[in-house]
Amino acid sequence: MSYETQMDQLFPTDLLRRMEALTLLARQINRGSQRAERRSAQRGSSVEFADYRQFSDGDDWRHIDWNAYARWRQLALKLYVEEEDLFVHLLLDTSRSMEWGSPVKYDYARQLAAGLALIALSNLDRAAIVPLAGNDPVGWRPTRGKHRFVQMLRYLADLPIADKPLPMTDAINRWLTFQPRRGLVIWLTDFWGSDLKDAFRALDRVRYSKHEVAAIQIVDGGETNPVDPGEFELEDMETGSLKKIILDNASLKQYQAKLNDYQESIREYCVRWSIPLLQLSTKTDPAEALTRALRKGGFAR
Amino acid sequence: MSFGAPLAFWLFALAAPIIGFYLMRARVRRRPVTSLLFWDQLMTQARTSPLWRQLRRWLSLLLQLLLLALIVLALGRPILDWQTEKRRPIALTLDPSISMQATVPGGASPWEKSIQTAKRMVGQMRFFDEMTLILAGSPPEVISPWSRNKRALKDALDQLKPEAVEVDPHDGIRLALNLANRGDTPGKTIVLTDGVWNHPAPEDWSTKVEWVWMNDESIQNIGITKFASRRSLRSSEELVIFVEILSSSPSDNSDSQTSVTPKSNPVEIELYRDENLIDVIPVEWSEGDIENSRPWRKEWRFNATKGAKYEARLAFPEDAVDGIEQDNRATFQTESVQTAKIYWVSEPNLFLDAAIQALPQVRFQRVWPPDSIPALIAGQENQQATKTDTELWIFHQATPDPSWDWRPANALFIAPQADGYWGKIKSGEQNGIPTIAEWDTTDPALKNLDLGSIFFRSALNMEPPAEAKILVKSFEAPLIFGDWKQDAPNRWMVWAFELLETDFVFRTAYPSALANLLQTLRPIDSMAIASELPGSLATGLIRNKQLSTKSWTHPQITPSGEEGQAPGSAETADANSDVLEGQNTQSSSNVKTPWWSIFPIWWWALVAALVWFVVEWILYTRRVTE
Repeated sequence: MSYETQMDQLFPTDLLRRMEALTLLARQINRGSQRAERRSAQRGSSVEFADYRQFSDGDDWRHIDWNAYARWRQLALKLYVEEEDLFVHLLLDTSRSMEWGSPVKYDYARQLAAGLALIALSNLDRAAIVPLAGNDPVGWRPTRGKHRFVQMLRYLADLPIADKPLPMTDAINRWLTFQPRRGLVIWLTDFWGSDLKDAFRALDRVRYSKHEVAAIQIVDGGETNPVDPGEFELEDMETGSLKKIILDNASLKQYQAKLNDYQESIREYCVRWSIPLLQLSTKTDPAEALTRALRKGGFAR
Repeated sequence: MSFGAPLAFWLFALAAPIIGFYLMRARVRRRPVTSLLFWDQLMTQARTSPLWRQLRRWLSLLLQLLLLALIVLALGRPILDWQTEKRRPIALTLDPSISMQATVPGGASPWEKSIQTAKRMVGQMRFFDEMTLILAGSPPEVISPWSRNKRALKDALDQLKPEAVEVDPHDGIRLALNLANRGDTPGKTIVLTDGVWNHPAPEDWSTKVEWVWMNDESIQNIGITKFASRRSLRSSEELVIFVEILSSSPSDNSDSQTSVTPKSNPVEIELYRDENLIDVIPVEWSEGDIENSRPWRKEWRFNATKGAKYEARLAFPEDAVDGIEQDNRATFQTESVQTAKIYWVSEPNLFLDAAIQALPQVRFQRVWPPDSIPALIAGQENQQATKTDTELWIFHQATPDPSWDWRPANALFIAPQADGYWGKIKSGEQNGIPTIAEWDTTDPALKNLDLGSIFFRSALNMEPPAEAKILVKSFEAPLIFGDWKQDAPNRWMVWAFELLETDFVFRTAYPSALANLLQTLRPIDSMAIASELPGSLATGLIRNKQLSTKSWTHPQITPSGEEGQAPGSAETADANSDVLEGQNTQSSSNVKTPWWSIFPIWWWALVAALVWFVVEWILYTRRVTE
């Protein structure tokens, strides 16, 4: 099945209308906020005091706090908070493991990405879409304004699954090499990496890069109950490797136990590092999933 | 080995889809998963396909192909050579006579035993034997053609019913012998009978036929063997009823009520006319009658001109046991005596007219002058449809005119006055005084007549025609002659004397002679009637003497032609009868048919296929759960 699906099929009008309604919900949740009222880590020229630092050569004399000099006998510069737009980076897992399930996890992820992008654009934030695998490491560059939403949908609809497998850590590293502006990183993925630690290493990498991180893990029911008992040749969708196996009910239970342990370890990691995490089944309605994301917090400002 | 249905081998083509399905099933199904991360860890529990598993798959395919081969083999109906060589046709013959239905106290009748025995023989047939069922009735009937189908044969036996009369099974046994030996393989003819036959069996049957005796010597029976009636030859009004009763039970001098014939309370014969009891007589045999199979007889005589239904019933003492019920009643229906119409062509004579009218069952019409006869005949022809009476034309001193072109069917010419087909009148009277010298006493017209003392004053001198029979002669001159044969189209008789010239009319011989004539005109069928009864052999349950004195082979079906006992052994038929029950039981236990040969080879092939199927199913299910 080609995932260069028609936009209308992937983003039906009804879904878009419900997503539009979610933007109102986002404003209510972030009540009191103003447009472009995001405190940046950058120090700028706003009226809001941020910090002091010692004067060095080349600094603007106008920013010397003379009161502080009178008190400390040292030249100190008064720093103000730089107000700037929020960058929302939507990292989309385009690995082949997403090409699975009913509905397909990749389609579901794209629908969620579209909804999150719409919310960001409605808040006058800059939204970017980053396919974490594949030949286009840059993706949809940060864009501002709702008028770009339709183009973004078209981009999402045409965004293909990656041909070659790429470990999550490598994919994150590849994206970070482009030095994306710090902002909110929302990662839509199934967390199936090259090994069981791959997802954690990738999260660490994002976290170290001073981005705010939120994650949405997409799980299909077929992953928890993959096959019936019997003899099979299992094909890894990521790598294409094959493995003959004879399964009975006991083996299946052990598989499910290990899968649950993995999910639980991801949850614990996110709790430890204050990373908002939403584990969703593809059976969950995308609009409802976005609502849950907004209420949980961390997925929008 | 040959096959009854070789077309079934086309079913071997099913091996192709079986192998195809096997290959499809043997191919491991590929199932995409999002990751093999956890599966790698589970490889200790989830084993890969080992070598023995591959071998078992081949075994599974082999079993499936074997299953197909067995089913195809079964459908092909294989016949092994040794089966063909030892195939044995059996002609099973049953005697359906009434004596086979005799009731045995507390047991099955011989007929029921024969059906049971026949079914047992059918059940003991080997699968390659074939059997035909013959009912040795009259005529014999093939009730089932050659068949190996045991169910069909047993169904045919269930449909059988014995006959109500005694039959001669000879023709049926001959038919069975012909059928059994029709092919290359000599067959076996088995006869189930009680031996109560009319005629002895041919000598050579002792080696060709296997007898299974169904008779039980303890059967006691009293039955009517004859119940008949006839009109008296002297007078049609008189009806004679005759009954004959035979007993196969020894006379019992004790007062035991269990015997059929206790002397203290004998059997009675009841005679009914139109359901009304008219006579009851005890049936008592004289000494030695029963032992010598002499029947008890009784005769009734009645004056009865009207037809009626007569029935004889045997009334048994309470608790008496009688073997055959069908011979305890007998009925017949008599017909009314047919009236005769006499046309008296004579001048009026009160005496002669009255003498004719005095005859019983006679309607009288005097015709005179003779010229009125044509008009009378024309009138009769118009009423031909309603004419049923017997007619007798008596011409007294008159004759029909040849110009009428008419001959009465029955005519008596008394002193004819002219020549005709009845003879010629010679000139003059007979010489001397006529005296009856001899007469034919055997002729029905003159039966019971005494003509010797009749006085004749004169007689006509006539010359009878060539076909006439002279019944009464006066020396060489015929006095009474005629052609009165039973089958003659026109019977005529001449009394060559004038009635008023003799004292014949004053004697009883005159009305008797006329009555004899009228009696001969009546249909013979209505004169004697007999009831249909099983017959004396059946009633007396007398086994055919020749059969009884012979020694017969024990009735056993042996699987490969071995005889149960060689013909000519010292055991008698009576002894066979005495041990009939035990013998039948013994025959089933002595059968040497191998247990496996009861079922055909295709049946075993199907069983084997079923076993293979179960094994294959178990293997199939275990390959998943193991």
